[in-house]
Formats: sequence, C-alpha cells, structure tokens
Amino acid sequence: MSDPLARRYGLLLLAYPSEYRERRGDELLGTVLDDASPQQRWPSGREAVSIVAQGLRARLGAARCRTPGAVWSEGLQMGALLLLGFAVAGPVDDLFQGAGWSVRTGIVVLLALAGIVATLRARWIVALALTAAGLTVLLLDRWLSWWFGAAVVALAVLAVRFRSARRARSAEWLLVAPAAVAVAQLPDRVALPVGVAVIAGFVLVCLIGVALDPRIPIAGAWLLVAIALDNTAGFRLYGDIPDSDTRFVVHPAPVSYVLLAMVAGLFLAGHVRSRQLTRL
Amino acid sequence: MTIQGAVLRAPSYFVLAALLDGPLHGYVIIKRVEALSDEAVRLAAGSLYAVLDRLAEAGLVEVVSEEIVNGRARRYYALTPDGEDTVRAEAARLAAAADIVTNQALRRRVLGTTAVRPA
Repeated sequence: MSDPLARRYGLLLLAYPSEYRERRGDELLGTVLDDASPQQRWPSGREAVSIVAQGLRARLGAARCRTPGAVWSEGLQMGALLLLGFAVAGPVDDLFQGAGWSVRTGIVVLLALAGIVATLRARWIVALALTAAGLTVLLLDRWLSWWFGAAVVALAVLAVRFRSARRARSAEWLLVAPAAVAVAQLPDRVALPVGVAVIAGFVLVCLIGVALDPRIPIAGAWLLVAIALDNTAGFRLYGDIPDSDTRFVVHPAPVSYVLLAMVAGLFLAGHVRSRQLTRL
Repeated sequence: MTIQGAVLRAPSYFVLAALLDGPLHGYVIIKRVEALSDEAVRLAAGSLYAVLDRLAEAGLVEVVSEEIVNGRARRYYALTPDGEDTVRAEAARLAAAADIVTNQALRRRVLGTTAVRPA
C-alpha cells in the first residue's frame, strides 16, 4: 500500500473490527480509490466520516440489531448492567471511606455481582431474582437503593416483554463494576471541574449514541432514572442520632424533574433512531 | 387502493433500482444511484456497504462474482428474485401515491360522493 491516499484510507478502516476488515476492507478501499481524483492525496471529509461512523457502528455491534425491539432489549440489558455496576460501587465506596462491611453488605455486593453475571448471560429471571433479593436485603436495613430498584424494573421489562431476546454480552462487561467504582470515587477525590467533565462526557456519549448506536441513550437513561428516583423517594433520617427516626419520604427535588425530562428525551431519541436505523 | 408506509429507505430503493439492469460493483452502484436519484442520494462508500449488508441479510441482493483489480477484491452484486419483487412493489406504491396528486379524475373517483366539501 505505497499510495499515500490508500495508506490514509487504510488507517481510517481501522475503525472497523478486524473480522469486517478481512471480509470487506480491500473491496471498500478499492471503491473509495476508484472514486478519488488522480491528484487526490487525502481522504475526502465525506468518505472519512462515513467510514469512521460505519466502522464504529460495526465495532459497537449496533448494526446487528435489525428491529427496534432488538435495540430496546439490548439497551435495557446494558442499562441493567450499568445500574448493577453502581449498586456494587456504593458499598465499595463505603469501604474506601473507612466504614467496615457488615455481613449484610457483603451479601448485597455478592448479589449485585451475581446479578451482573446473570444479566450479561441474558438469564433475565435469574438476574431479576438476584437483583430483587439485593433490593430486599437493603430494605430490611431501611435503605432504598434505586440502583437496585431501577435494575429490578429494567430486568422485569426484559423478563416480561423480551423473554425470547436472549443475546449474551461479552465477558468484558464484567468490567462494569470496577468502572462504576472508579466513577463513584471521582466526586470525592477530584476537583469540581472533573465532576463537570464526567457529566459532560455522559451527555457527549449519549449524543454520539443517538447518532451511531441507539442502545447507548436507552442504557444511559436508566442511570438517570435511578438518580432521579434517589432524589425523589427514600428513607430519610430525622433528628441528630443516627437511626433514631428514619422515615420513608417522597419529596421530589427540583433536579428530579430535570433528570426525568432528560430520561424522556433519551428514551424518545433512542426509540426514534432505532426505528430509523433498523428500516431497510 | 391502499397505500401503506414506505418499505424501503431512499438509499436502499435506489441501490436496488441501480441493480435492475444487471450486476454491478460498488463504485458503479454509487454512480448509478447518484444518476438515478438526480443526485438526491449520494452514497459514501461506508454507507453503501452498510446498505448492501442490510439488503444481503434481508435476501434482496447477493454477490454473484468476484474479480481482482489492482490487487484488490471487486465483488459484483445482483438482485435476487425477492429483491426485484420488493423494488417493483415499492415503485408501484410510489406511483400510486403520485397518481393521487397528479390525477384529478382518480382523486374524485376515490373520494366519491362521501367527500366533505370545503366551506
């Protein structure tokens, strides 16, 4: 590949997964070179954007979802995995803060980890049972974890509505728990600009997802569901002495309305794009 | 007469239309699509192969031959019988939809006597 234009297009083709490049890379390269002028030395912007966008779609696996239902089931599955990752992150964060783990906390973490494995293997009923058990154990401690709560809802939808959609995810998704632990550490360990950067990064990823892979905004919306509900309902402490007067309170904070509006926007954007991208 | 929603997106429709006259390879498909759509649909190569993948998976196009040009594979794509039926059915649907606008007699016949007169 001595031609500089071919070499540069070859670099862009790295956006595709290796299996696709082996099957199609030469042919795609031949087509863009046929379309190039004899003096052209750099890829055209239009071709470059198309190759990178389609390559990323293939790499993300978005192209294999052929119906809006498939997009929703995979988005829900990814959302449940993210939620369970953050369900693990909370107790681990407590550990970093110096608080010890009770037996009950250990059980909750094990249930969340087992829920992650069951979800990535697309065992909806098993994952739902494990997640509901984690939620119940925490409720016995008068703690309503919306990471577990929202995951229960997402998995219940999968178990009822998408019973037959059972696509297992790769083992790389096990990294969701340590990744969530790392993100959960950020606000305590870094300056505010990094926290803002995390939010900006989340919004950016969702916007890229709307363009390339509608499963991403659907999955991301579930994180906001949990945060919105956490700011709306839960056991709140009254009085100075811990555990002296813990009451269940439903009192939406203003931010909840903003978050729920974002959730609606992300679900709608994901749904509309899934319908567009899965049409022939 | 029933006119249902479009089955095919514009790029798929014009790719299938380009293949009606025989098998073509990627670069020629891009050029034919531009010409047939009066440059309304300009496919970049990445998008073309995404469309061809979807159409092949749906059983509407297939690879019929392959040659090596300048050391690179060049595949020729052709319509399957299903592909030809699909694009012709879509064309008939679009023609029927156009008729409703351009053919006043047809419009009156369809509306019949039940039409609500404008105020």
